[in-house]
Amino acid sequence: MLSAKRLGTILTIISLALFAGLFLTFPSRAGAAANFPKKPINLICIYDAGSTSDIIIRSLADLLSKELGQKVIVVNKVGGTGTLGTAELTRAEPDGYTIGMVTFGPLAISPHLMKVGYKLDDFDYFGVFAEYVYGLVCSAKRPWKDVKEVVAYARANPGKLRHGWASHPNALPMLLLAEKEKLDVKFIPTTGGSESETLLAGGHIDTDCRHPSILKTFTDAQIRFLHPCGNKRWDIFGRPDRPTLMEMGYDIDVRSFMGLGAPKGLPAEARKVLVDAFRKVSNDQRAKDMVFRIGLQPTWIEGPDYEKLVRNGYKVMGPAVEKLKK
Amino acid sequence: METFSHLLYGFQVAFQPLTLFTCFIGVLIGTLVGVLPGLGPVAAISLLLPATFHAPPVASIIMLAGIYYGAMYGGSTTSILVNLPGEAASVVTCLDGYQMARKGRAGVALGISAFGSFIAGTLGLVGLACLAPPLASMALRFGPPEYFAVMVLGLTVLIFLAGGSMIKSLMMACLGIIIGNVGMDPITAQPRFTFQMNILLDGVGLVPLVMGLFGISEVLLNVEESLQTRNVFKARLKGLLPNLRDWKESLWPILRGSVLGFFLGILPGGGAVISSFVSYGIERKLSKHPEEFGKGAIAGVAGPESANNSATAGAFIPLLTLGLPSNAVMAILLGALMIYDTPPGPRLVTAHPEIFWGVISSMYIGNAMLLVLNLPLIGLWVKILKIPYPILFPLILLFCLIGVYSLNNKVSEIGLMLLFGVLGYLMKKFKFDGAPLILAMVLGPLMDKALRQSLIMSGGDPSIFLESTICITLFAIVAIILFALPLLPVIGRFRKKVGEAEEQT
Repeated sequence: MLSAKRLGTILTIISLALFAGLFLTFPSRAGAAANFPKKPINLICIYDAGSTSDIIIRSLADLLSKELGQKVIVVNKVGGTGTLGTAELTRAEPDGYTIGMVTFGPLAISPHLMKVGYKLDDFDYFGVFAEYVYGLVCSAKRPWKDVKEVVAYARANPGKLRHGWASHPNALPMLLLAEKEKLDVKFIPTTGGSESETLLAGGHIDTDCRHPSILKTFTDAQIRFLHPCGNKRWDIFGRPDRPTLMEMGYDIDVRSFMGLGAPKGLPAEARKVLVDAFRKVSNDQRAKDMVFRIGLQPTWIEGPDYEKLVRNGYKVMGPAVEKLKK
Repeated sequence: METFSHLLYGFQVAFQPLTLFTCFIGVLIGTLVGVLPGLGPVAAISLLLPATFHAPPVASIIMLAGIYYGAMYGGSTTSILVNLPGEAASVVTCLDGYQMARKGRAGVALGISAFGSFIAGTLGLVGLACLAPPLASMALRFGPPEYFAVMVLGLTVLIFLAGGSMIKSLMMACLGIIIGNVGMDPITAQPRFTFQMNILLDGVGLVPLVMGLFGISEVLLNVEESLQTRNVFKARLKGLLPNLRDWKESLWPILRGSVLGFFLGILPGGGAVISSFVSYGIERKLSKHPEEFGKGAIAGVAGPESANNSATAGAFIPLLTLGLPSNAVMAILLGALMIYDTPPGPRLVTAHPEIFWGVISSMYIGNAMLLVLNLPLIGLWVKILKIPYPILFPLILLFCLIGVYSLNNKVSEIGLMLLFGVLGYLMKKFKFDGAPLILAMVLGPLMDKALRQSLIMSGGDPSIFLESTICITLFAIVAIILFALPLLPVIGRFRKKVGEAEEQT
């Protein structure tokens, strides 16, 4: 057996060699924009590893890797309900080797609730490939068949209707409904969709606005789907029978978007390569299938249009969120 | 029996060559991940997820599941050998496992840990196969008030953990609750205890804390002693496998731990961590030699290890039957199943029975593989103890640093870990126990959230905590533990006095 001293010497030599090797891996700065991408790209995911968004992003990264010819590595920068990772993106070098999730919630809603480390101008918006769709559901322990019965109950029992609140888009349709109908609704905060769904199935909360994935996991025996909260019926999700809230007479259209972007100031060539690849992959049937299976709606919105949506949303959300704060 | 034929079908599915292969890969990776501090099953599973898109769903989900319970096996290895928990659920194993290692009984500890985990995994499996649907509907009845009651019960169990001074343990628990609540409040998203520091906005991570409090502090403590004169674990290694007496002392803890872990694993939020702590507390309370706990009592290893393994089986129940994940790993598995187009939930059993029964059967196969993998490795692991300290401790330090950074790529977490390392060192010097701190840190925020959700639901009315049978039962148990149990010795003395008085007359 080697003596400790010998072993120590060997380890020292190995570590020095490894250290020296580090210098060999630094990429050269010259000609960085030509033949983009030359090395792996980091994709910032602003939500937890294992969350719905994370899984979709990893699948997207997998497809993007093949399209770009370089590995797209997902890096989770979690925190502040998505604001931490979003801020991290703006702090990255605008060389095209760091891109990330640019989602509607942290951009349009969160700044009204907390201090965030970014402004809407700090981003380069590539586009949207998936839309968060919400549907009003109620616990099967309640007998309601449509929104009118829910409203009737809430009117007759002020302060008794319990609506789940995992993130702001979940609460928004009910909030708007309560405002129009002058209802007193209780919003029960939860830490995520899974917790909300557990409480719904158990009857501890009465209503919530959830994603279409709920149709696959639950039957009507646990959670009953009432109405889509957006502007489309849920044909592609298998429920063309339920009218939207708009069709029921309420001017409520709540949607959120999962987009991709980068810090502002990208070199033109890098930007074109990234956006073209993103567009191609997002419109590919494989990506659409995968988004759809998780329970989001595959969609494609061009960068400039998305930017308009975000800025508009930011203006609208301000007053809406003020009311939720009370 | 119908379940039996279902299980046979599941074994048929699981015994395909591809499935066996992926199961093996899964448990192997899981063990490695469990041994390495920092990197946890959540990270490993999410990294491997895209690779599974090109494989059949059954094989893929079996591999991912294997990583999960493999990590539970691996986590105990470093706890026993170097007092560094590989997983939060292995913290309790450090308490007695490491002491056993210092007495030369590392092999025995590793052995009983492996056997206990296997037995627990098997029992958990049987429970899963037979009891899944009724247990699932039982789990649904737990709302915020019930969770609050469970958390209160969990914290009450702390009393049994107290080794030395009760006051010191309670102080540590309070510190744990405070540390646990640092960060953004889950209900109003307002920062608490962050002192305007952005790095604290997401709270204190469990991993940096545990690794600092246990790992770094141990290194610091040992560095104090002169390295030249100290020899590697003075006692000779007394034999690698548990003997008959060890089995006698461990059998009931294993059985109790299995049952306990299984039921606690079903509840969201709790799972393996809580069940290992509760098992330790119960074994200590029920033991005929409670003074041995903390000094190398084998029951203190057997019970918690079994509990955290069967908790993994229990955790699958809400996922497979209801589509509701009870922890982060289950959440990824849920996503994976959705992508494979085999969504879990009440429809899974009928729509894709091969997934449901295949996963259950593969867990048995996986557990068997893990036992076969781990037993021969015990000899290898134990050799690690022979590495001279001047090399071993820097290596441990290196693994801790890399492990903590590998989690979230945050340098601040390394700083936190070192800070807790110093704190842990001071704690050990002044004989403060770290286990109550960890338990309180995990349970405190959950309890806080459940309390506030319940009060929001009831509009501020505290009577919501006495509405359901579950709540009343749990609070009754808490009351008995807090008030009745301490009175038992008093009653005993009283009866003795009465008996003596009667004799005299």
